[in-house]
Amino acid sequence: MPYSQRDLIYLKEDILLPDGKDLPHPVLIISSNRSNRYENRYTGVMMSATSSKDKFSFQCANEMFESPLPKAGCQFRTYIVLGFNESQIAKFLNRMKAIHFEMLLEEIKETVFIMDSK
Amino acid sequence: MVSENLIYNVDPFYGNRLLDVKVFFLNVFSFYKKLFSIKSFKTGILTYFNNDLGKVLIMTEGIIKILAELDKQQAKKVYPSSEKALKHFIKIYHSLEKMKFFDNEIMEETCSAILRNLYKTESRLRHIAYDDIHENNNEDKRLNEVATLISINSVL
Repeated sequence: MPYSQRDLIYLKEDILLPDGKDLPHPVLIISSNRSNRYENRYTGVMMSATSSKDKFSFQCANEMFESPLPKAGCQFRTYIVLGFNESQIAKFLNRMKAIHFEMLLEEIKETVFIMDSK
Repeated sequence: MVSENLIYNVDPFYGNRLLDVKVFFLNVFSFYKKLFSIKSFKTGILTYFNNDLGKVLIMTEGIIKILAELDKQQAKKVYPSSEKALKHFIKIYHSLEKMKFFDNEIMEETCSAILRNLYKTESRLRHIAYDDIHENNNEDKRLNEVATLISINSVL
């Protein structure tokens, strides 16, 4: 299992731009390593370069990662959570620091995995 | 016979007039080096800095308590300051993290608590201020399509 929780990775399936070029989109692995080990299946959250601000934005800064990000002004879209296999991962990109990751998880829990009032 | 030139040679400071200045600078350097290596002095500075951090922590705790009372307009008004404060402290945290918080546990714990509080403040204000904002975001649409495609492919 070469990838672990807090790893920012590129997936093989890229977004096709209007000019026909592929746009690789980074995904952050949020599932625990205990879960990742099970059939090498991961859960991640999508990173985007959109500048929109709403309740699903979690803004990123270079200081939150072990090395600088390739693009400034990125954010995680906290509601776009997806599952994928190890074979779908193209390459490792960066690693998020623990304290910032902890706060991102809190944000995802509060926006996605919170029980609505009855 | 001792010549006039030789007299100059027995003067050890003749060829090095700047020695006094050098000694002075060495003394100053040594004084500060000693000063910074004294444990109590270092501890004193860290205690002073930790006190400042403590005050910031108390302020962030207080801010969290009043967030629930804010309405949407007020939240929109104060949100930029909260976002700016978070970005600012992320940089401070990063600088101190690089210095391993001077091996001071209290500093590390206080900084972590401040950072968590600032994250909470920014998040709660954003949720109040932007609760009903649904932009027609094409980027999100494309991301959703890709995420769905990836998830489907992962089970095929």
